[in-house]
Amino acid sequence: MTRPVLRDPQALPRIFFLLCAITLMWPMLILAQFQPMALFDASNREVMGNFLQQFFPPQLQTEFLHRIFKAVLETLAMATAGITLALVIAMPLTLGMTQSLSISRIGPANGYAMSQAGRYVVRLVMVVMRGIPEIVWALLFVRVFGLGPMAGVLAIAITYGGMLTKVYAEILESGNTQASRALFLAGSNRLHAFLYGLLPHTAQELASYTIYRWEAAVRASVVMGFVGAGGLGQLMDQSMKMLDGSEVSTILLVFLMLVFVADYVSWLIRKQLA
Amino acid sequence: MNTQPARQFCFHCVFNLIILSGLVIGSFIYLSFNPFKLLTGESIHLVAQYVARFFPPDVSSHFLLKVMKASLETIAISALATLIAMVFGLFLALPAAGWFGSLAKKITRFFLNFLRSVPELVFATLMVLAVGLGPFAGTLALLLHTTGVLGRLFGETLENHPITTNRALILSGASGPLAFLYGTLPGIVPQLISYTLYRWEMNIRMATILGFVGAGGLGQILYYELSLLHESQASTVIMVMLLLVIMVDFMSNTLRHGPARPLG
Amino acid sequence: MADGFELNQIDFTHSNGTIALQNLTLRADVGEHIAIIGPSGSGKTTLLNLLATAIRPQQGQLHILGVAPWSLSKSKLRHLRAAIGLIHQVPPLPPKQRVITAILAGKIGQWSSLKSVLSLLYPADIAGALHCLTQFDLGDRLFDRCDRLSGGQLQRVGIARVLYQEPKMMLADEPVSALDPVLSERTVQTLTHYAKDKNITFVASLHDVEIALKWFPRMVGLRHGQVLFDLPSGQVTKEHLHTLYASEMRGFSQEIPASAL
Repeated sequence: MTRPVLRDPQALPRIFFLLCAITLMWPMLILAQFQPMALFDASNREVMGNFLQQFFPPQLQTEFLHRIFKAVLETLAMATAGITLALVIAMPLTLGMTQSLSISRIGPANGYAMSQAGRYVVRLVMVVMRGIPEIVWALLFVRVFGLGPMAGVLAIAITYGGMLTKVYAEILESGNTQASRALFLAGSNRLHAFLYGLLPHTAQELASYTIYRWEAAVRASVVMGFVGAGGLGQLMDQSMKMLDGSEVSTILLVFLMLVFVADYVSWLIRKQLA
Repeated sequence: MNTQPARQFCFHCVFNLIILSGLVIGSFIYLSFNPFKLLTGESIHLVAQYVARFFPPDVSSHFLLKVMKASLETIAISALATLIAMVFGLFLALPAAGWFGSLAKKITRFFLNFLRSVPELVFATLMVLAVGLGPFAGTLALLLHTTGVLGRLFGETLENHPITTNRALILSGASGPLAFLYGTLPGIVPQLISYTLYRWEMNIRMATILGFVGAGGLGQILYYELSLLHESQASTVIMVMLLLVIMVDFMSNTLRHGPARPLG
Repeated sequence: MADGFELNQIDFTHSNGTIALQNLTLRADVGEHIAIIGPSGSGKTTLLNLLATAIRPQQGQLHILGVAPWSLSKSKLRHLRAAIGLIHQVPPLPPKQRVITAILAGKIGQWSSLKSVLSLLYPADIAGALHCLTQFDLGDRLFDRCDRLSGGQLQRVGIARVLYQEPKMMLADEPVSALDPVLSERTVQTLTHYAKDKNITFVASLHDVEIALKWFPRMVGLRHGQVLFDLPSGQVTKEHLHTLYASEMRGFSQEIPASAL
């Protein structure tokens, strides 16, 4: 047996790691302008305090509730329209992506190099679509097409189109190719084998993910309202700018209910699909 | 799975499909939005014109420096917020997992759900009100939302973790907190760190846009430049945002799956 | 009153309704060594858990080291528990924890909070932990992570932790179940020598009757939650053992509640 060690061998690397972490903390705190005392600054407290006090009771005037109702409909419409367009964009892109994979797994392919190149192009486009946050797209579209929900719909269409493509491609690539290979060997061309063999049993998973994304789109639609894309978000932005705490309180409550309902509906539909 | 034989006509499915199509078309109508109008030459021309204004991007060293600083600010916001949220989340995970009784559990879970549901941007507008413009508001906003997310995830991890190691220490006279440190924490730390890193990745993306409401970082510069119609500057910021996202994606993929897949 | 422990007419029923112990009476003085034997489901683990104050009897009086544990305040109970060392059947060690930390955890009930916390950053007593570990031929594994050890090694680390705790009463629930016969014998020997050295009460449940008879001066046979016999080892006969394990030898005609296994 070796001579007993009376020092902790892992102590040194640990101390080193700890020192590194501490050295990084300091510039991080400075860059983020971390001043917890600002929370307790007198004038800030007054503004915030007044604002929060207005939360009770929430604004329940009929006229305002009417506006909220319209805003909720607008938000839901934005999310639905956006996801629909996202689907329209995602379908051809997914096909483009999976061309060289799923389909080549079904049977021999020619033009492999071309389809590989095409795949990389699609991937690049998708990175741009997904990499730029939807609210940035929304802001840009507001500049082109003006204020209103259209900007939000397009923003969702692009970002979520990219997300749907990525996940659809993954679902399809991990699908069981047995049925499609059988069709191919029996004489149908590769595309048909893909459509009738692979698609049917992955359809449920695809649909399920789409509904899940719809739910996220509802929340995103609200957020985009803050840059002028309409819906509940725009209403909240306006109320906040006027420092009307009671209106904000109502909108927040309605928002939470909306998210809860969307969650539930999405869960219901996905259960039905299964 | 459909238990009916394949041949039978699925009225149920057709009915659902009709309702769904109705809702979809209804949405477009409600918004007075005809997507086919986008495909007209006029629309495309409009978009193309606008896009053209973004090139060439402004790459003057002066502006690049500004953007670099904003990027670091963004990363700092996300890192700090995630770190503090991890600590708060851990503390709240204990009652959320039922360690202090079922009333505490219900209250904590409700509170965490609230924090999770409110979007970061909404918190950001509130925080700007509370502490003024700048990255501190962004940090607080991210912190609040992330505490909700991590608190819930940590709570679930804790709840699913067996208490045998903890109990054994209690039986040897350890106090509750020490039994937690020595008995429970070592078992859950890997999972907690995994969740935290995953959340940090998402927070970096979030931190880039909180600036839209004045909470610092790249978003604040982007919003500012777009408002002044400085598209070439905005273009630079957007490219840097993209770059940041790609880098984070790449690093997280490498950490998880080893150096393999590049883009996407 | 017996100053090791004293159980009087103890009844214990599990939360699922199974009766684990019935009208059990058992006493021991300080420094006694007792082996508990009996078939699976006879209540050995329940008895040890009772002595360790892990569970509370529904009926009967219980005194450990001269005090009634369930009438104590929280902090006094913690104090009492620090003096009781329970070797669990399955070592309760977190896989990613290092052996050194796992062993030192034995004393966190006795150290100040500050010392316990600081020990996480740098181990407070490497020499002490090493001393306990070397008794089980595992000295070179002091800084390894627990998930790198085999089942038998882990069991010995669990035992080392209890030795490090320096309890005034030591309880062992099948302490050598994962060890081969030679190692089992050596380990039981180490434990009994330790208990004799420190003059502490030592109660162990064992499934190996040979080892029990060899190393323990007093044998208690448990069957269906009741004491079948409580004799000096020299007086335990084959008939006693036969009656004790009879149900097991008859095959699976007896329902053994899963919770008591």
